[in-house]
Amino acid sequence: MSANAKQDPFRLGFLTALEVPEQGFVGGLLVTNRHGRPLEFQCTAPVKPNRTQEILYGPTLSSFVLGELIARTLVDKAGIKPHVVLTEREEILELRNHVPMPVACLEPVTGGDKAPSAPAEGGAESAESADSAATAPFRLGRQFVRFHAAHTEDRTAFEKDSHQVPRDADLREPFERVREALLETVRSGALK
Amino acid sequence: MTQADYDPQSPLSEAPLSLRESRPQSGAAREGATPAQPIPRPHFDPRLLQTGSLPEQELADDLEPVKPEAAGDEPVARAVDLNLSAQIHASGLNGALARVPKVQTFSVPLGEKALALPRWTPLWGKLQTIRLTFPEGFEFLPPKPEKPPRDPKEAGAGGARGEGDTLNDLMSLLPPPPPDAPPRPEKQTRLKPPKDAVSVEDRLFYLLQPPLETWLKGQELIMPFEPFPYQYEGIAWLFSQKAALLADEMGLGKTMQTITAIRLLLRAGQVGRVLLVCPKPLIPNWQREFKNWAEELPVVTIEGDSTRRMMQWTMPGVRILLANYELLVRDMEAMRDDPPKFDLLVLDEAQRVKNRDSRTAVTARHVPRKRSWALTGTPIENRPEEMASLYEFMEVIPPHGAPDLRQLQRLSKHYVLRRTKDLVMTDLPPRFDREEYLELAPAQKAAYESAEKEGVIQLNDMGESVTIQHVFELVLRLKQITNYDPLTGESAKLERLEADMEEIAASGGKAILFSQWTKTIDWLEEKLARFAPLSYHGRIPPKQREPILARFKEDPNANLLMMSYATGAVGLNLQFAGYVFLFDRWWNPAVEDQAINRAHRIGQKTQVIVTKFISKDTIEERIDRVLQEKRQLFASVLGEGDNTNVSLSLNASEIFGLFDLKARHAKGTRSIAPPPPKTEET
Repeated sequence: MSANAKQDPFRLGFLTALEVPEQGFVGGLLVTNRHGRPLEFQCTAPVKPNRTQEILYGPTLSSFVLGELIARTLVDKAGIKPHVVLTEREEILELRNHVPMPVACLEPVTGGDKAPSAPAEGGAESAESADSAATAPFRLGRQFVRFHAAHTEDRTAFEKDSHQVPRDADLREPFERVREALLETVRSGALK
Repeated sequence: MTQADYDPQSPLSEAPLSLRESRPQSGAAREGATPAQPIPRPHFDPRLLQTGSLPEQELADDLEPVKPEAAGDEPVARAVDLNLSAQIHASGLNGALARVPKVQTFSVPLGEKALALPRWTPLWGKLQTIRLTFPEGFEFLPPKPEKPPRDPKEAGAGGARGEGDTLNDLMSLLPPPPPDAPPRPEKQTRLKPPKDAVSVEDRLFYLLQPPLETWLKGQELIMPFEPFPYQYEGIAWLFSQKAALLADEMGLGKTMQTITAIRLLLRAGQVGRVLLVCPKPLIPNWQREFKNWAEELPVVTIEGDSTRRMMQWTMPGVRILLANYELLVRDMEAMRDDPPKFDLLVLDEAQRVKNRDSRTAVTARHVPRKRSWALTGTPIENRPEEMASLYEFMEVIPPHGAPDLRQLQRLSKHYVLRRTKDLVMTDLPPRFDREEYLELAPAQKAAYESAEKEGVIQLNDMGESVTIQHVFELVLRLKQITNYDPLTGESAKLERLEADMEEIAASGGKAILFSQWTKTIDWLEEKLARFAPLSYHGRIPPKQREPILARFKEDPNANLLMMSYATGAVGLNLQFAGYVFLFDRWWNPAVEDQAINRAHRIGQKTQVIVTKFISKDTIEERIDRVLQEKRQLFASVLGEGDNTNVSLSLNASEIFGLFDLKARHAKGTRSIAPPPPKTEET
């Protein structure tokens, strides 16, 4: 670990959202240290687009609500900023256009030990062109992640820090915690 | 007729001339037209337009859809003679109708802005959020960074492990685990919010903690061994409890679960100062276990003279203090005006506070603390009411509260965690109990019968003035003779023990022997010298005890460790011994179980054979019967649905009942014994 890393230990942000029937979308961001121990959690009140918003935003609605409205609010308001934001929802990748840190989406479970759509292993450059390598799935912990297509520099920038995430870290597990916490918050009525 | 009068649907109505213009029929109308149907009257007169200049076929083409491919076929529609007439009534406006209208044009300037356009902006309002920041916690050792995968060339030939390499370094050389292999095989033990956590922030704190398996898998906190699943559950339960009684059966790892829970609480910033109190002989055991399970935690043991102890109690920055009960009582009284404060107080062998009025219990209750945990394998040694004293320490009942059995059972659901080996350690090697009923040796028997006869006569002679103390003295004297005859040294138990020890020593096995008397242990030490027995009892100075245990473990020639129940029955880990001898019997089956479980506990690789010596036709056999009954009652109280509230102690009536004592009086004799205790209604 570099001297800087000692002063500012590596942090991961796990950001996801779920739809609560009749209440709309709620989002949560769990910031952890590199071992998954929680440092900060933040969640939003439910967001329910009205009919006009649904019509006018059309197919861009979910990426706006999840990626910009909810996710950006969570990252902007975070007291402890993560070095990378991980999500499991494609729409939240939109967040990358509004925040300075890399945002990566976990690839769906494939059941094999190969990257879902590219042969990159352990972050190794094996794709044919630099562009495709930049957008190819990247091995992080036990999962593969993909960065925003328009921010190809993220992968290169993140590669130097990726070793801080333990190689057997299960990056899906913290999302289960976030979902459970969101449901608990909604049940409690703390945010309406 | 005016335009307003014209009705195109009426057969009497005639179209005004101004409306007579040629319009093609709509497609829909065409599709609806068939040769069999009459064609709607067109709103113009083809004959007027025809006036002999246009061929009839052209008119027909105008009227009907003519299929191009059907050219030359008979047309599907025919012209109809409309023969309309126009009538104009004199209205005074006819002149105006005939006048050519005047048309004027003028230009209108375009406006600079569109007028009255609807406007909409996507206002979403400000999103409300909840933020929870987790406490910093204590880092005793900085987490070891995981190095980036090294180039195998850099690792040198064979990548041999160099000095200073850690487990993580070696792990980094291994191939990465297969990614995302679904489903995850590992069991995940999650922390649950305690029942008294009301605020959403409190509940989220627990819900957002990682699974224990992740937390303890050696990245942040190094665990020397993988805990069993039930131990993970115990750790998670302790972590969430402010008041807890961990009552696992002996040998299931209460110590390890407690140490790990303390470790996690410190790491999560939930506690900052912990006091752990245990019996004096167990101090080295706790020190050793802390070193095994939480090497990074600094533990300070309260010891030395009073000045030094005062300094230890109040030393800032100390996270864990370890004290024995005697020093706790003494020092807390000395610091009565300004006692040290703790986030967590743990009482090991908490049956020490079962008497709520004892100095130990009173002192423990007065230690300022936020969390109270009690550890014991025998929460009830004699009476269910002993639980009330533990609950009072845990501050879940008011001072001097007297919960009935149902209330105790209800409290147990919330505050007691008890697992038995049968329940959780299905893979623990079995324990075989054998009760050896031995005939006394001849001289021993003569000595016994003589002593009993004389003793009973003496007690009878004392009449009503006889006390339980007198009876007890006789019991002890007789029990000693069943061990060996003091005059001749004859001992049926010794003979049997020697025979068993021959086999055990020959096979390299190790055995533990328990006796009530240090005098018996001394006597046996001499008789069994060829087995190089080791002794461990209250007369051995504490500093010499640990080396004795170490030698018993490591010396292959040390086959026998002889211990007193009082000193050796609790807290020691002797799972490398496969044999246990109860040379004489203790008064309480719970204490006997504790003694046996020094060997029959986690880590035991082989079966444990427990031999209980009982001299036939003696006081021992009578006591054994009482003990058996007590054991059954003990199980019934800790079991579900027990509604009896009988005292489990060997009451005075039962002790008197060991002998047939009769007081003489004028009309003969009368039994000497106190009345049996009343059974309380619940």
